Amino acid sequence: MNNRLGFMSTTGILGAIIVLIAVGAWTFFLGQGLFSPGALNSSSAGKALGGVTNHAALGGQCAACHGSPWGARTQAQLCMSCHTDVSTQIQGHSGLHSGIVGSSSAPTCRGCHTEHHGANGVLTVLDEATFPHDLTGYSLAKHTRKSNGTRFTCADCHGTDIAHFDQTVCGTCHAQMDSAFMAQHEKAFGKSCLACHNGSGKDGANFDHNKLAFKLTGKHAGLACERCHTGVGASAKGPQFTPQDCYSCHAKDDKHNGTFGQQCGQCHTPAGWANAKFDHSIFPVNHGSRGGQQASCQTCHPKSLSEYTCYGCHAHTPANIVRRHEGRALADLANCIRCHAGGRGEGGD
Amino acid sequence: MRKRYRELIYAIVGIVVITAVYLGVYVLAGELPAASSFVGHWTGVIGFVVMLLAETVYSIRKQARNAKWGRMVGWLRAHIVMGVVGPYMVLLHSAMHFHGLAGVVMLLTVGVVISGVVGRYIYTAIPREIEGVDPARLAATRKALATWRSVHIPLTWTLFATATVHAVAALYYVTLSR
Repeated sequence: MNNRLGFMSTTGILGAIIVLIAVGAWTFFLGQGLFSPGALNSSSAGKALGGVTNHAALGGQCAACHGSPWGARTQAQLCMSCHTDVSTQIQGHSGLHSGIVGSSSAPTCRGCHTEHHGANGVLTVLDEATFPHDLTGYSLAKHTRKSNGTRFTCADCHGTDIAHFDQTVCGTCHAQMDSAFMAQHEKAFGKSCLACHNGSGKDGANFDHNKLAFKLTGKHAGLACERCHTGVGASAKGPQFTPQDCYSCHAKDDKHNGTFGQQCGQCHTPAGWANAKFDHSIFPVNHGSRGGQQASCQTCHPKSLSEYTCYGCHAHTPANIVRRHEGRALADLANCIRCHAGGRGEGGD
Repeated sequence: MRKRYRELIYAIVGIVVITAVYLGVYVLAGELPAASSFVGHWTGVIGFVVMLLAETVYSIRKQARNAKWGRMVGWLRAHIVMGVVGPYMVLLHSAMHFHGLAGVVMLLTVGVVISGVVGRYIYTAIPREIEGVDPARLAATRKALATWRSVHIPLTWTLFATATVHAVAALYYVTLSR
């Protein structure tokens, strides 16, 4: 009677041994590609990292990404030996990857990034519920639900490639919500939505310009944004970079042809160009007038109202002034009011 | 009739239950569980263990002829049920991706199951009655069964050897990878 276990077949054991030898020989001569669960991504990244422009170009060099479990380097370290931009972010405590590493107790690259899904396979898979989207610089605070009440999915904005974002997507949806506004808004600011918007909503309907340093009063109130914030879209800079000095916008409105300088606010207010008031108290207009007569503007401002000179009155000649201010060069003595405030004779330097 | 196909009914019930659980995961996740995901990974591990048990337990029981652990026909039935349910779990584990060595394992699994189905019908063709049996027919079926065994068992060995290499590779490249 054969007392052997039924499965202890000689041919069976021989078959198993042949399989092991065949796999060993294949691995030795042809590499470890036999164990690959699928083709690597072959879309070119443009510039080469670690000598290749995509993972597929690594061929059967599994060890480029897979260290042995007992090896010195972790898989994340192997990733970052090529992807140095990521390690720079993490070490510099800036950017998305730094934020993710900081918010996770055991961060790994493969927690979000995947491979072996074919030549065009996805390389990033995120947990939509927990991904800290704020760290990308764009909050989803105002994008939890679509206008029809259903929840947003990653694909609604990102399509098939979650790692990239095409800003024209913003316009497509928002034009459906208010086409007239979007047409005017895009015409004024362009389509670089992210230059101004960060998703937090504070640049939306609740935005109050008067909480900023540049208050909108008088004729400035009620203007369309693009009247001041011109070229924002083209320059890809936010409206916060709009110049705040009067002349940047109002040079074309200058009736004085520049003769009064560029400090419009010394005379004018946002209430309007009319009713300009200039406080001449810094130097009395009736200074030095004879018999109560006021000197004409040209007496002190012969060239333009933004410049003055004391020469030409009294004994104020350059030679006299130099003589009476012994030891000083004439160039130092042009701004008389600096010491002779109010026109008084004694200086106070 | 029902008694004759009992093992198939058990196997179908097992497949239906596993499919229901699997579809539940599919609906919740919105995609087929990948082989490396928690569900996919353990479906494969359990499927492999079920297949291993299907073979070893049955053989051990066959060897222990004097033991009274149930009737042999019951153990054969268990062998068939596990030999259908285990491979089905392995198929789910593959998530319909058949690449490299893992694809070879799946192919061998299908081969073993098909040979098992063939074996089951050769087995039922063996005359059960003691008297009035045509000796030539008895000899032919016994010969057929012996030939079948010389295919089914080595094929199973090759399958387990390949599956073990696949499991070791998965441990090396994924599970134990730091």
